[in-house]
Amino acid sequence: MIAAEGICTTRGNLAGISLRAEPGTVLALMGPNGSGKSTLLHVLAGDLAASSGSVRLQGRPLAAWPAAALATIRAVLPQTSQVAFPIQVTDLVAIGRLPHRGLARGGDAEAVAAALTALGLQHLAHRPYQRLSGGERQRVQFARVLAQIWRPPGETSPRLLLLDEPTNNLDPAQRLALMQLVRRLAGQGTAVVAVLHDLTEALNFADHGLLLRDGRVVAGGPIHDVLTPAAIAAAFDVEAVILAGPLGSSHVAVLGEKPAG
Amino acid sequence: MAILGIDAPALSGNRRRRQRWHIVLALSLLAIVAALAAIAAGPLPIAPLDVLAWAIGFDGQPALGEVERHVLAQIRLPRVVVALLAGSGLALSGCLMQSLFRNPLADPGLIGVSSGAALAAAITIVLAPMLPFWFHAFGPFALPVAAFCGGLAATFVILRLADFAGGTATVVLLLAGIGIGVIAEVAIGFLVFISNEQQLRDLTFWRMGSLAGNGWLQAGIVALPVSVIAALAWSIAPALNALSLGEDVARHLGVPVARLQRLIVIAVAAAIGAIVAFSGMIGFLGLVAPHLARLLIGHDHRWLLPVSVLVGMIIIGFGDLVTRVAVAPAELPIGLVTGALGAPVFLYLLVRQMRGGGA
Repeated sequence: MIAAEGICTTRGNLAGISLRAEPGTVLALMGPNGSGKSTLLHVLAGDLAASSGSVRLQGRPLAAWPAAALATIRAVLPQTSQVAFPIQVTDLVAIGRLPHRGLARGGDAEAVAAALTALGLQHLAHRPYQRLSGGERQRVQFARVLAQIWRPPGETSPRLLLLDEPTNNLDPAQRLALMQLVRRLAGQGTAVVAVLHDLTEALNFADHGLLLRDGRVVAGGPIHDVLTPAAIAAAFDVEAVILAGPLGSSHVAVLGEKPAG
Repeated sequence: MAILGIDAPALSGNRRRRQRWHIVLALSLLAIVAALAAIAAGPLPIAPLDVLAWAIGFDGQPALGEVERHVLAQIRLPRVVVALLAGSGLALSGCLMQSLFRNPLADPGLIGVSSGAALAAAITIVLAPMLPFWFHAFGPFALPVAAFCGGLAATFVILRLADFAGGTATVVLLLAGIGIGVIAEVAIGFLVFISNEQQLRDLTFWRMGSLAGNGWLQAGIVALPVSVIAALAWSIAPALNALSLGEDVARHLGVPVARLQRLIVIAVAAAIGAIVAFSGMIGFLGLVAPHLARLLIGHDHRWLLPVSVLVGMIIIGFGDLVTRVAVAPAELPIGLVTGALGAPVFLYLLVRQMRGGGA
């Protein structure tokens, strides 16, 4: 779906990052603050041009995509959103349908309703966005992104979802529900690239991982090969162990600072 | 940014739609009343009903004499048409600026068009004897032509500066506009300093705005850029909704933000340039009309833009009426009236906004 090759940037100091994400899979971008995860996501979203390297979406260079066509198959959830004017939740989510305006496909109302339901926001549909809590706002923004790339049931053309810390501001139950939703979206043929802060979330919900530090790859590949105590120590300077939980889940437990030497 | 009208009742779907249509209908009626009143009032009073009858073609009756018909067709009507066009153009421009800069306190002057026009007008008035002979060939149009060109030139300089500073960041545009505004103000100050009594008076009155003396030709000229900006505004309304979620979000939704920004700036410069050229500075309307519209209808641009136009028409319609009735047979400058109507509303909104708190 999307493939990046040797990405270098002057802002954020990415030094030769390569990755690919395929429909049906979740790729987690991880690393300490300032390691370049968000910068990498900006490059994948086309907000930031790489000083060298290439980004291709379905084999076509990202810059060669017409903006309108791109917006129908690729959606981006930013880390923070500033909404300039008061707006109702439904109206905000409906703005996600903008790229589909004038296309014969239709189904805008359906898409908005489906997105609100998926995020459990039906009861807030007519509330002013500015009156919502941080977690509710985060979910409304996610619903907007979802509405943008919604397809009628049965249609499984490939789509790409770029998420920058989607579980910010959410409580544990909401985090779980959101990551399960991400998994479900992947199951419906979406390629997901997500910046994740919580390594346990990454371990349980991502297929692949890319662990960054100072703009370089510490480890990349299947998530269980990436999140090893050694790699976590190399990226974060902490001592960590992977614990097996009940029901087949895994947990990253941070024990303390990495012992000197 | 703190938010206005946040406590508006949460209406859903059809009820909200119906309520919005009611507001549009009421404002349309009010705009028609304002226009009729402005046409009817003046040194030669004509009954509004006779005006209406004349307007829809039932003037076969001897209700209106030759003189009255001439006054209506050649003096009052074109003047009111220019007023309504100016009101719409200012309101639309203000609304577009607020949405582009994502700030409810933005006004059309931000992109330097008013400063540039004012400077060009000051040069024309004060330095008239020194200007090259071909300039005087414009005759009575010298001032409007200069103001229009000055406005566009200032906007062009600001666009180039923003380009040069690197990037499409709206904030660069904003700051460049402020810088150019200061330079223009200094230059005008110098021209005021060297001007004689008559020039000072002309300049002062020009800056307070006047709708007097506008005929059908002027109406036609102003109609052109105002129609263009109306068409543009309508076609980009959904994109403006996306822009209110942030430039990045709009870009991710396929909105060509940089191109949109440029289109808006150029369309606003042309519209404001033409309006300022024929009616001088009409203060506060571009700020207050869209603001009132936001309070009435909310922030969905598909409703907000048309409602801004209606509010702009109503304010300028009644404003024009006041200018001609308040101190008859003399005439108040329209900028004074819109300012007097607008500033208190503006302060009220400001206080409300601050006290409203919110995100």
